[in-house]
Amino acid sequence: MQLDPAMTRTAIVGPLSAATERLLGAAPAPRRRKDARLSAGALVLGLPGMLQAAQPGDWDIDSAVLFYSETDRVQAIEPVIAVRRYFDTDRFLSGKLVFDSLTGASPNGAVPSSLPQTYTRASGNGSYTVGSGEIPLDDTFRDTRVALSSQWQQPLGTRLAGNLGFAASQEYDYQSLAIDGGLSYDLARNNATLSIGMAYAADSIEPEGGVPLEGSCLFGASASNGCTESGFDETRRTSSESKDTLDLLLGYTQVLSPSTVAQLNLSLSRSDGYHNDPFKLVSVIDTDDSAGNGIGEPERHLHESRPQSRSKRGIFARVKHMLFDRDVADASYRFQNDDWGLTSHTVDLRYRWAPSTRHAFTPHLRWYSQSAVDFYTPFLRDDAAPPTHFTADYRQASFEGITVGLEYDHRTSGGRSIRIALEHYRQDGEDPDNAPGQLRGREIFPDMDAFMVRVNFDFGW
Amino acid sequence: MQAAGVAVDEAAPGLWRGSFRAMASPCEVLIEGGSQRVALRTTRRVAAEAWRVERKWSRYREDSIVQRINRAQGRGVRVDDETADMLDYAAELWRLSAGRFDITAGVLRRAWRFDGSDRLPETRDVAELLPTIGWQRVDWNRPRLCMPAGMEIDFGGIGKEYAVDRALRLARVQCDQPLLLNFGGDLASDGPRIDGSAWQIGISPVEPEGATERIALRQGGVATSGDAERYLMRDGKRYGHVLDATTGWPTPGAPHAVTVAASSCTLAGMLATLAMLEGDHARAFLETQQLRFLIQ
Repeated sequence: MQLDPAMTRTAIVGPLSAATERLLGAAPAPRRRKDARLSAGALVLGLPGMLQAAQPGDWDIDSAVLFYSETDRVQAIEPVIAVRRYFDTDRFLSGKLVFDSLTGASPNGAVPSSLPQTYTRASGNGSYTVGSGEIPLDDTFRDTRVALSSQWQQPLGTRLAGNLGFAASQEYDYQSLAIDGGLSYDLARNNATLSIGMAYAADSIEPEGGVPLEGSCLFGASASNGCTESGFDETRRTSSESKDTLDLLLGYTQVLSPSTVAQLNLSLSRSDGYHNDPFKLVSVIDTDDSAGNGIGEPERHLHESRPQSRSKRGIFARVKHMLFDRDVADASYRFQNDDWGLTSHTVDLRYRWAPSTRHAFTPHLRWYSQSAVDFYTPFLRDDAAPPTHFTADYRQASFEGITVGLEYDHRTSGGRSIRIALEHYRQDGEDPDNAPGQLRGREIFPDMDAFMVRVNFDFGW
Repeated sequence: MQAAGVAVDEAAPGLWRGSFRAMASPCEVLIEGGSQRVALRTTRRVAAEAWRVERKWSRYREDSIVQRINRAQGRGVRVDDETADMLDYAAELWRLSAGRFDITAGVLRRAWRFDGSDRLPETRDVAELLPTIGWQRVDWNRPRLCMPAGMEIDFGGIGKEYAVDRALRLARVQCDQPLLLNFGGDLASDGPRIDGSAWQIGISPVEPEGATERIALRQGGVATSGDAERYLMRDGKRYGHVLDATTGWPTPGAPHAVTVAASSCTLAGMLATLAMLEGDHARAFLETQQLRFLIQ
């Protein structure tokens, strides 16, 4: 900062008024406020460009409702309530409760057929039918999830801070328990924060009707279709399965200037146990019309088979920059790959434009691209033995996704915040060019459009 | 009506006056119309905010952020958002005043005692303190402040006016009536009285024989720098308590007091202080800024 002796003799009321308005104007909220200033801590905590100036005893409550709709597929409504209790400026306990209600249909992995097809539900109870030429959707998809998480954060000395968390979620057939802990250390001289974190999760699944045997036929096909299982139970191997996941995180946040902060995270993740989706199938297609329905028609559908472990590693880089003392530009890039052969890139760009302290608009653009896992196949052929591992789950395929969104943030004179976000997501994959017979030219990879509306209401007292 | 350090009485028909003490000053909340209950609730909110600001940046509380900074012995201290806003503001004031307003100048109180006597400090005593003053020696990189050992910061010159502006906003949430806040001569209002007229503010004269001047305030703040008691007098020359941080002495020819009206109490207070630092040029300075002011 430069001293400016000439200033005192000229009109300083202008710059001083502006500075005073920044001081007072940025603080309309009683006791507590959020603003767009940057801090290393804010990023480490994952608060998007916000800092809390909380007072002891403050409660901070954020409630939200998310509506999510995929065209013709899954619909979700998700109310969230998050509560944070401050014991002093740095120590707080937070809790979050999420309800998820999903309805609709999801692609089951099988290929379309020129004939209507009937699929036995994963539970073994009943079936659903898919019309000719349509991507098979499993309409059993109907679930309610309740998730509860809690986090305690507090300083340990002047530079070290620790956090400890617990999370649990319960769905109809799936439950997850997780604990996590982390330490962050302020490198005072460098305006930087170094953080390490660890999380462990134990998941278990107990699908209705049991866990499908990998590679077994979807129940209902006959021996003439190459299936040997004689009863539903023969397609099942156990009643429940589990998976353990360990995550490690190393983060470095550097304040580059009063208006710029950069963050770099390295992450490692290892999971062991059951990785299949019990609802997903892979079609075996007829390559020589041996079943008599025509070339390219599905002969039978097999339950998918994935490896028993997965190791991931990732790099995440982010820069946030404040402009005009008012707006925030936020850019991030994530790279991730794993030992299944999936490599992904995510570029996320946001610009928070705040024409006044009351209103802010944040356009958002995200581009995502992933390569397929090594054992992804849109279908299997009947002229070759199935490999050890295979999946036709579109989430393991190669695709690109683009999200375009806009959020409007309104702050009331009482310091409460109302945010409304609208997003559109478009996912595009490639259909195989070697599909035989009737599959040639059909849509096999399910492209998708989804809309999301989120309404947040945030209040503190 | 009274509650926890706060009292409300009827100053005139339809005009409630809430009173309490904060920041070593008598504080008042004038509320026109409404019920006494609302007036009490509003006064309580105003007092709570004044006490909060006072406590938060107190030099006397072991656990305050100011004490943590002053005791850091050269180590960096990460500050909360509100303190960071205040430090940004102080940095801007330092720049605009060419270093004469400086929140690290509080150590000068070790040499200066403004008790109305003629006991001026030794030139040497003041000079010895100067190396521990100077915002340019502070490494402020929001949200972290790192200051050489031996230096101190002090928001005494800004805190009261800031508290007035903050409390006014909070009071507005509690009541819809016309409001005027007065913390020991630093005032603010966010609108005129019920009949649309301005609040009439009497400015007490510094000299006993002086006349009471009036300033009309419809919206904004009024603040005064300098006062009747805090000065030293030697050889017919008056030494006011507003010290130039670059010299450690009052600016020669400074008025006894400067009162300024501006869009907020904080802005008014800072302009009044900067005018005092202009010394002989205080009037010229204020005229350049095109403000309503009063020099005594």
